[in-house]
Amino acid sequence: MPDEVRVSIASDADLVPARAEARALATELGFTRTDATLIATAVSEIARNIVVHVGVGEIRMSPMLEDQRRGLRVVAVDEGPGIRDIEQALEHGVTSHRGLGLGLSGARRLMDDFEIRTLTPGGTTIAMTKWRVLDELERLREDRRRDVRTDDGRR
Amino acid sequence: MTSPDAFTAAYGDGLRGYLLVGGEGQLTAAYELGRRALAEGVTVLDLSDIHHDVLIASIDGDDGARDVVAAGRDFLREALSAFEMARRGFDDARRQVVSAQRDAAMIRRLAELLADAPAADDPLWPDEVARLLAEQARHLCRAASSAVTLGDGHGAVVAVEHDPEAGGWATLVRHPALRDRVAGLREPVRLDGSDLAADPLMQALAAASPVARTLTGWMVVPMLGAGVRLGTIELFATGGRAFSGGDADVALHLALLATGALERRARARGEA
Repeated sequence: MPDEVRVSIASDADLVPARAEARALATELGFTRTDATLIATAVSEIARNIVVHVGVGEIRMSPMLEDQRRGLRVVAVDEGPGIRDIEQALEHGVTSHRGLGLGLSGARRLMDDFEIRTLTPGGTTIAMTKWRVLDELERLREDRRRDVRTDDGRR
Repeated sequence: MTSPDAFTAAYGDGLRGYLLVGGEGQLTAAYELGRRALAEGVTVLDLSDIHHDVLIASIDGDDGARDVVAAGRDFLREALSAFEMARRGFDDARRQVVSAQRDAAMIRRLAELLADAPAADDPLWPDEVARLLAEQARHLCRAASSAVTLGDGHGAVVAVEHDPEAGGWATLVRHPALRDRVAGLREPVRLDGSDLAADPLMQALAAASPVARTLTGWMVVPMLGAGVRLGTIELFATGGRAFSGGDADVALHLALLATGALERRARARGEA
């Protein structure tokens, strides 16, 4: 599994590789087909946000491996004018789509963690993560793998 | 609530039954499954996948047909994801409306209470009203802690509200440096996490107080009556939360209600 996958975003066509990479990583991390779709959709929304409001940016995706859960962290970075009022920007995401709750607000609702950092000017970083809790069998395997690693370290 | 597997099995039984015998009875079962899906939090994406997977399993010995249905399933799932995003938005909006209605009812009750209690000898004043104000402000603005001072300048901190499990708030709120800062305020102030990180006083407080280190929002709204400061409402946020413009409006509204009540109280005392 790669530590990080980066996809440059400069046009609508770049949504395709961004979605494909997100789905591939999500599948590798054991997310269900439905969750992989929701992650790909959230990636599409923040990539589209870059295309529409800034023009150029990058999506970085990385696996998060914790004891009890796996996560896919997606970070969208741009060097645009920044977001002056984040609260309003999230609200604008609703109103600009006839109140349907798409855009940044939609991406936020599809993921578990969502954070926006912005500098005006200086660019915006949107970080979002989707988590899945390991099932009992996965936890047992994880514990066994850790035990083996510890034993190897002692030898 | 049953497990997702149980729902999938029930849906499979229902759909297979309809494919075999059809009829309104089976369609009624489908209607019941739809209601059950809603109750159990099965999304429309899940439902579509379950439906197609049952269809795929029902196709005997025709890999081409199975591939077509599987491709249709995957395509439809992507199209439905926008609907799922919108559904979550509607759910959020509905929760916000319910919450706003509850908040409005609380403010109305507080307004009635304050309107009814201006009498000079009313035992509610001033401690109980300040406590009520701090409690409502904390709740309505989803603050970790709140404080109400009464009087001009270094007015006394009359009430401090916070989670009973969380210590250190009373000490932080009464810290002399913070009181000096608040004493000089004539206009509302609202600081978010980055403002607090750049604020020398807040940094000094963070160095001295564990609870101050958790702050991610701070807001003070003075209660001003005829140019005289009658007190303040002060709110503290933690856990990455910052106060919004809506929170500031709520705090300002409470301050105006309290200001009116304080002025009526002062008039009543003057007449007594």
